[in-house]
Amino acid sequence: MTAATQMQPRRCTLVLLIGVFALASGATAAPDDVAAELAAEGVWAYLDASGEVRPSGSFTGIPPDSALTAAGLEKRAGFDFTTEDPVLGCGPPGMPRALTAASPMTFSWNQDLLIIRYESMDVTRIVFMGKDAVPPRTPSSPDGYAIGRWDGDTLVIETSHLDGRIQDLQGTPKSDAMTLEERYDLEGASNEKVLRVDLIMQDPTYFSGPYVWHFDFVRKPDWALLEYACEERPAELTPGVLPTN
Amino acid sequence: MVSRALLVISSALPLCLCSSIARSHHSIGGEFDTETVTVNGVVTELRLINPHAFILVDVEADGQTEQWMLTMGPATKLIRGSGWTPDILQPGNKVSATGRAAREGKGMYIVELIKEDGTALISSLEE
Repeated sequence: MTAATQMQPRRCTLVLLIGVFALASGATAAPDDVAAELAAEGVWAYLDASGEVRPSGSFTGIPPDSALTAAGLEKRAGFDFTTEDPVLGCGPPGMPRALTAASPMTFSWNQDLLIIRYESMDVTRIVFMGKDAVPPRTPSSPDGYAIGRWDGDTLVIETSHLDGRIQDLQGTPKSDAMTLEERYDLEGASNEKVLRVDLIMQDPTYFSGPYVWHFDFVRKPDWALLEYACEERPAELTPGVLPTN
Repeated sequence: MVSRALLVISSALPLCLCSSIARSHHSIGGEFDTETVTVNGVVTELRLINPHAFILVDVEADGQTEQWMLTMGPATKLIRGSGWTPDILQPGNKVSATGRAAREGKGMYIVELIKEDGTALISSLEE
């Protein structure tokens, strides 16, 4: 009997033990399975803190004053929504606002691209999977440049090159140095999976440190994204020009 | 000009409901006061659009007809969440609307909308 054959029973035992441990811990899903589940039929809908599924997203809060630098507080205090909110003019909300609006969303894969669509404001976002670095001379943009990777079963998206548009209804600022890290985890039983999203924002100009958001989404297989087709209100009906007498 | 005192000012709505409207998904919340107001009027137009659907109604006050603009959440919420269709309200339908008064002009952000037959199209229990 050779040394190799003598080792065989031990190796089988080891493999069996690893398998039992994996089953017991539930850590069996491979990224391909997770990727397929993210892109499964239907949409991901926001599950609010009370456990209610929101039909069209929800306000999810704004960073508190304590999270901002003095420059951030000053910028937010000077915000005038009537002239400085791009969304009121049907402009792009940009990241992270597209995500923090908790809109219904979908994931789809196209080779090395992940396409995330948010119903609110008809946002389509492209994530470049597996890239090592942002290409040179990449300009800043509302959604920035997003690179995705897998950390075990966790989808991680890192975004930079964001433009400086405001990030919420209260005019919380962001600078072009802001970076985002999103972490997506599927948890729960197979027919009741919850997509847990952690968003970590860092902005040395306007934030005093990393700021973390947390969102839960559930899959609604019978929903489809609706066309948002943002439409500005007629000029004669905007505030201040309604008849006052 | 018709005094706002002629309108029914609702103080029964819980404060938390008012603040939930203030937490609208974008800055349109800044257009509206915390004061709530109720009007009874006749629908002239429903625009089921995003990010904010609205209804135009004619309101009779002091023998004059005033046009009020009643603002709501996104059409996507009304369609998917409440089953609205563009013909859910027709010109000539009478409605009673309660909401946060506009800071300027004659308007509100609706928190409750009831048709003449008692059907609640928007419930004050909804956010």
